[in-house]
Amino acid sequence: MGNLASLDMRARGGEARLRALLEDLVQYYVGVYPQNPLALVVWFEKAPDRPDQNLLALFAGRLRDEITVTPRQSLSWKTGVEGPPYLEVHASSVEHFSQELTNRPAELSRYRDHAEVLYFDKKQLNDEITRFFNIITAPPGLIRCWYVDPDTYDRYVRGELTLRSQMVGRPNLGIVKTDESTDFMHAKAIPHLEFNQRWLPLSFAAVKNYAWYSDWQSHPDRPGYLLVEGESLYQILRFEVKSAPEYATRFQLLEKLPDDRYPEVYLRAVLPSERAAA
Amino acid sequence: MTDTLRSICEQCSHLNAPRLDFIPPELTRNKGIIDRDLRELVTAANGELDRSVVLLSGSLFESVLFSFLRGQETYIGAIRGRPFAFDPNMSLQNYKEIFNRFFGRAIPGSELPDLIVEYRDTIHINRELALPDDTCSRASRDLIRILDKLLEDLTGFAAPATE
Repeated sequence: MGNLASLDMRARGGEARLRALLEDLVQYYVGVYPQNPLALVVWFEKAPDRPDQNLLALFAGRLRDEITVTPRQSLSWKTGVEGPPYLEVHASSVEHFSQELTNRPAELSRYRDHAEVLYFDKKQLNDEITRFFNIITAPPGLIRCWYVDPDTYDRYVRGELTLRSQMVGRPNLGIVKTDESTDFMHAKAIPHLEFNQRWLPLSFAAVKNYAWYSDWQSHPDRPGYLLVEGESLYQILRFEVKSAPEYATRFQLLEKLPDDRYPEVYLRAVLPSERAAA
Repeated sequence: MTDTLRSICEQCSHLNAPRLDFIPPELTRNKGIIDRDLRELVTAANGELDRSVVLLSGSLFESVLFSFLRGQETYIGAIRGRPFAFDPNMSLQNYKEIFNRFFGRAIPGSELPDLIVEYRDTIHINRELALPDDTCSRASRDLIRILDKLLEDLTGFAAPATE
């Protein structure tokens, strides 16, 4: 059986071990307050070669109106060993930290100094905090979409449902437009999905797993639709794969596909007048 | 019209003829459970039972990742630079995060999307009431394709390297 553990792994340095110790602590924090889930952990004033490390931990909801600094503790707490590396944890709530960002931003700047986000739950964070720590979960042009399959579209045309009713729950995909006609009637876009809270481009092998592609592949004569944020509607015309090494940089994608081959969906805008006539 | 569950399932070769060599040999009971559930999943898909397919697929993602990750503690420990102890009491969300982090690149294209967790949690009266009518239908179709791809990726990972 292939087991990567048998491969000759490159030597891991002290930082990796330190990070692993911190991650074990973060895992412990994840469930420590069931009513106040962990929202963010930042390793700040990061200096792996020093014996003392610092973490900022923010929990959802309201805990105390302060940033509590815990007594210095050994990171080998699990084994009961008292020795370096040591850790100081600055704990607070998302709500309090946001207020402090508004009232005393200069005093919080140390939390951004040589900082690395070790954990975040974007459902629990607000825009101020994600901006402050530069947590980027989507490329700038990403548009969230809900897939409307041909049968559902027919029901909409017959007046049996509204398109708005399809826009609940997690979006079925995101798109980043790579081209758009001057009259905004036609566009090309790269399909994205969320992986570990980040919107990433899908490879051609991956798009095959989803109804918005496979329905088109099985029945290209019966188009499906994408309903985008703001309730604009696009008809899916076709998919093509393009070799485009420049896309990752040009569209600030969060990850580059290894082979630079990006599936693109070709779209046609469905005007409100057309929808009414249908 | 959308593809039927039956026609999608027929194209999923790894659901129909699974090779579970990626599970360590000592975990024979795990293999038995996964084999049994895959057979039930195929039966449910052939019967166009959307909700049963969603439930069984979610459970199978958990079983497959649970069994695979248990066998990879040494590898994960090597990557981390510190021993890794797999916590069997965690949820699909955690298994998915661990898998994506340590295997998403080692097995190219194998990263699992966040929506599998949401789809798995669809079967709850309060959630279903808030979601469109066809959510289970779409979830079942996407889930069996993603599960088939995961089994394909893990089977390839476990296969002996060709000279």
